[in-house]
Amino acid sequence: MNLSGILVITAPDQVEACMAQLNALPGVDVHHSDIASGKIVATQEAEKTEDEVEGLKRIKALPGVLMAEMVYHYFEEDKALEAQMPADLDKYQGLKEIPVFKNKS
Amino acid sequence: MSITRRDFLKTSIAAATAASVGISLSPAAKAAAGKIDKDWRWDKGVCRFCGVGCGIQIATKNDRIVATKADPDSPVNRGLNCIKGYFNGKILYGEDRLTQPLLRMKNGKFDKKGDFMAVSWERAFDEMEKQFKKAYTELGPTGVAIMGSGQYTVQEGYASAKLMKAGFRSNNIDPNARHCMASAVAGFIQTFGIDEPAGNYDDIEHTDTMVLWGANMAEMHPILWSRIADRRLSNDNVRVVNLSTYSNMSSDLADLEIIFKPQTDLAIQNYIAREIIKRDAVNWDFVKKHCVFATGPYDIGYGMRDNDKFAFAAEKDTQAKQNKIKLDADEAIAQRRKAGEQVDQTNSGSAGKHWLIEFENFKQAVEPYTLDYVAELAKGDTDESLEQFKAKLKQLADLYIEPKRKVVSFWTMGFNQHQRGTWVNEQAYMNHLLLGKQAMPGNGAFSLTGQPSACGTAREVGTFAHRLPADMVVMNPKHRAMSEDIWKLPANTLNPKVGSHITKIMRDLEDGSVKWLWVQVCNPFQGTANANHWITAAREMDNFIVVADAYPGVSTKVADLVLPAAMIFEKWGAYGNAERRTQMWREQVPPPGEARSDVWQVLEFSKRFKLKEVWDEKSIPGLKDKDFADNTLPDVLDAAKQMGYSADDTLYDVLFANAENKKFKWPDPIAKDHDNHTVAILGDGWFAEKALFEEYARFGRGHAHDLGPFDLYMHDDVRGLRWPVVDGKETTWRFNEKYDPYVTKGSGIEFYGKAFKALPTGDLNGVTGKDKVDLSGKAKIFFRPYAAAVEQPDENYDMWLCTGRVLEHWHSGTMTRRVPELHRAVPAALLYMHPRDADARGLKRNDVAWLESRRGKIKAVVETHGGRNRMPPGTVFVPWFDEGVFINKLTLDATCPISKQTDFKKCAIKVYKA
Amino acid sequence: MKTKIITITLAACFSGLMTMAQAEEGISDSEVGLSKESVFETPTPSAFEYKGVMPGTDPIYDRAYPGAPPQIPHNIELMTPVRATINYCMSCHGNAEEVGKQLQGTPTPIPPSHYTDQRNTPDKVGKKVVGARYVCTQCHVPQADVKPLVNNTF
Repeated sequence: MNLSGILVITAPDQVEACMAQLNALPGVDVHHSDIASGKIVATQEAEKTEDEVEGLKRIKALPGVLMAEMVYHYFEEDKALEAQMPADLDKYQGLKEIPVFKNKS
Repeated sequence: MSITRRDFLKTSIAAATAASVGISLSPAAKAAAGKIDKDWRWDKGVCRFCGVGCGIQIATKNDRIVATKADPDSPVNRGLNCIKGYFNGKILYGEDRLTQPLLRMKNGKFDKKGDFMAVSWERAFDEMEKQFKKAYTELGPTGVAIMGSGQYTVQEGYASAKLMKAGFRSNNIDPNARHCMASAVAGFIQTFGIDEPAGNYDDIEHTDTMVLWGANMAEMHPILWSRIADRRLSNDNVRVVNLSTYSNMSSDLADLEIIFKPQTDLAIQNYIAREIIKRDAVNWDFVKKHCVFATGPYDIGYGMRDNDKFAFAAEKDTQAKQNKIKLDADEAIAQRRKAGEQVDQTNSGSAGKHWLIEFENFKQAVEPYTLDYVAELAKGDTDESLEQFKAKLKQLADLYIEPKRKVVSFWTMGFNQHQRGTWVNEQAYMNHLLLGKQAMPGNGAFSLTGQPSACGTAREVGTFAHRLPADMVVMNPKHRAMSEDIWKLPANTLNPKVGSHITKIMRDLEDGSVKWLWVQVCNPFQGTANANHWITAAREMDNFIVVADAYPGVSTKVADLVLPAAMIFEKWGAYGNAERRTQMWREQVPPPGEARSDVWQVLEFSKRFKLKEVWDEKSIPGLKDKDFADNTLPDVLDAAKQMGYSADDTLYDVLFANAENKKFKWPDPIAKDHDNHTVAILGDGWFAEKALFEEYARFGRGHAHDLGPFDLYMHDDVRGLRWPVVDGKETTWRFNEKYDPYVTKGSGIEFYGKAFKALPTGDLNGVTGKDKVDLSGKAKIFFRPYAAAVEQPDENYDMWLCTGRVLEHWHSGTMTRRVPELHRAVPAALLYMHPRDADARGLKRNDVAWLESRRGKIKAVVETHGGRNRMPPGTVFVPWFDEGVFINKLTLDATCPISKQTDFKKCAIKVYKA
Repeated sequence: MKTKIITITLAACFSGLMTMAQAEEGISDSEVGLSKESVFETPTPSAFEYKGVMPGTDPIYDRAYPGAPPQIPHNIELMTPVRATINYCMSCHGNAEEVGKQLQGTPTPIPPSHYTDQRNTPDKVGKKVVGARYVCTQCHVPQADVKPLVNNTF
């Protein structure tokens, strides 16, 4: 499984429309946005790396998207990231927003 | 993978993405985040290791460091650390941390031949006090000593220096920074009259030519190297030159590599000066306005003892050269004398004296340094053709001279650890000043430091045998008076006689003139050249060695009393890096067991001395000063009483916990709930680290050494400030009117340092006019000749030995070798040698070889495949971090006679199969 | 004015050394430190080899902690030095066109942070590994097949 963090840049007045389009794509979730700068942060889940690249192309092709780049990439061997997960994670199940891991890279 | 884990990952990745593109998290996301790491506390700190001074962020939880990261907001390193830097947290957690005082005992009593027994702090200090008083009564202030460090926090260095100089009236405090920076200091003071670089790290982004002289920055200053790499790789016009005695990692990105024979950097720099004059490239406008020409004596010895009483039999021939040498053919040309001439080293006791000369003298002096002469002398790789080497030297001169090029010269230990270290530093300024390429963005000779606070503490605080804070010196009556005023001491409390430098303290232990030693924040018995003498002196002589350390190392092993020390993030502190940037941090976690900060140790020890024990009349052998009776420091107790002191006051009351300092109360809101174990254990409610910093800062304010207020540095948005800090603003380029508030308006450039700014005039041979000329505002362009190394390969000891550090380990390895990742990266010190040299000795890669010098022998594993260091035939390199490959048993304790800094870069050894 | 020194209980000591030191006979100086022998001895060092003869033969290491640079699970003798003209590491780990993409086999891809110029354009992921991160061995190091000298409890 591949997970990637993607930065999408759009015109400020397009942010909301763009977020809706992104959320409609399979495997893609919008997490953060900043209307003033037109930045949107989304994650994409894909089975294979090839699908991930295809997915990114699909995002780039959305109307209103000025730029989309993969900023963070996770693939399953990334033990460090998993090690970082709190052991009692399950107790957060059902929380609307899941606690944020502080990335150090 | 469970849904929860997957969602968690997604959220994490999104947060990481948002953070790296500068989107702030929504309050809801932040609140949710708080649920997981609400007990993680992040705070700013500074890297523990080298002189670059990278900013880091430290996360703590339940009184343990759980993570560190390179600080993206630090202008020094912008979110990047080197491999050591990433382990700032882990160095605290080696399993054999020292957590209790250990005293050598037999039958319940101190015994020099006893084994280490755990004792209480009270018992430890009782013995330490008893032994101190024994040595102090018998020998006076010169019989005791402290070895300090360029890794001292500002406050530690200040407390130790004040206790020694103002309390015990001894100048025998000297840091391991003597081995590291002393030649740079002497070069700065003699050239500019004030210490430390004019420029700053931003020079890298402003320049287009970077010349490394004996500075393997790729390994020793990795984050500055990453800035250089960035500059080089993104600009085709940028050129990087690496001058070294062997090919190293810095050569890998360099455009031009020059391998020279040890000590001939002196000749190469004079060749460049000669070219500047020959090509009519002197920037006369700059030189006439801002510079003068100067020189000094050549017959200054090599900083060794002047007698062979303590020399091993094999050492006697090298030692004899301290007093008399025979000039070889190259030196004869370089010094305008006859080959074979015997020269008495008559100025070994006055090596630093210098006088003004005319430009015509200077021109005459550099005239012999032709391309032919210098190339023949300096070519360091026998496999390189002379023609190619000549072409390289010419190219180097071209780069310096090309009018449109900005040039920064960087150096560290290759210049500083040098038998003519002060000279070779001054030569770097010589060429930059001749070209007018100094004290401007992207233009300047830039001396880098090795240790994290070699500048901030050792130099600025002045923990040297001759220094007082803010560039003042003990020999100067005005400086003593000013210090006595700030420190509230009676007149003539301070001792005007320079104390022993760190190598001399070792020699003093050996000859019995020092009998009590306190080692702080360093490992000098591993780090001092010619170590067999000193470890023997520590164990066999009648003396008492106290070593405060975090982990047991070589110095601990030869100690009589071991004090467990708190490490960097277990205490409050401040460091000053090589670009004059002072950075502070809070205590993040408590020290383990009974380990305590060095500040606490010094302050607690000071409670055991009453004024009547230290401020009565003291004998100082050899003291001669117009303000003092010969060999004597006066009794100042009556004067002290008039100042309101009692003879029964302790040094703690007078020097540290005085009314002024007690105004700084603990707790303090600036702590933001961080602890302070030093203050907690002292228990009298004053904020020692803040009070000491503010008191110390008084020395420099208004004297071009201004530090900001303590609280300013602690501010969340501040990532250190480069002094002088005037009206809360840092100074980027000193001596340049555009950036430096101390420069007189309208002067453009002004070298306003005050030391040695009145000189007699003379010619190349000596002083001719006694009247002193005022040089205010000017820098000196020195002529310094080539002089050969005092010990060179011969038939018996046939190879050059160079020592140094490696990227993965810090100094003597006591911290980094306890990090498994770093240990596995470089498990042992290797003997780097040329494959043909190995072949000739029947050695191959991974064989064990003996290395032997006149001073000792050790074994090491042979590395011939190059890797990071590719040696020219005839030269070997062995790093010094590994106590199992104790290379300083072989090195020579010759020093620069002016700076007293040891030359660890060249001595003669032989290598043979074990 | 001698202040009483507060002593903390020994329970906090976790050092093996301490346990021995508390024993009645004490501990000799040759039993402490990284080289368990007297400073007057001359130890014989042993040669060492880096693990992972070829890339891909050995499993990757866990990071020391999240955010720590991963160690190199193979010998790099043939791939170094990293020069301005050629960086062999990039030929497997880097690909400017596909930032962060996992390549054939299992080389760990260079992450986007390495394509970001933190000094000048911190919010832009570029097409080339930035110069500041070009010298891989400044942060990433191979691991020799040796035991730790002392344990670390980080």
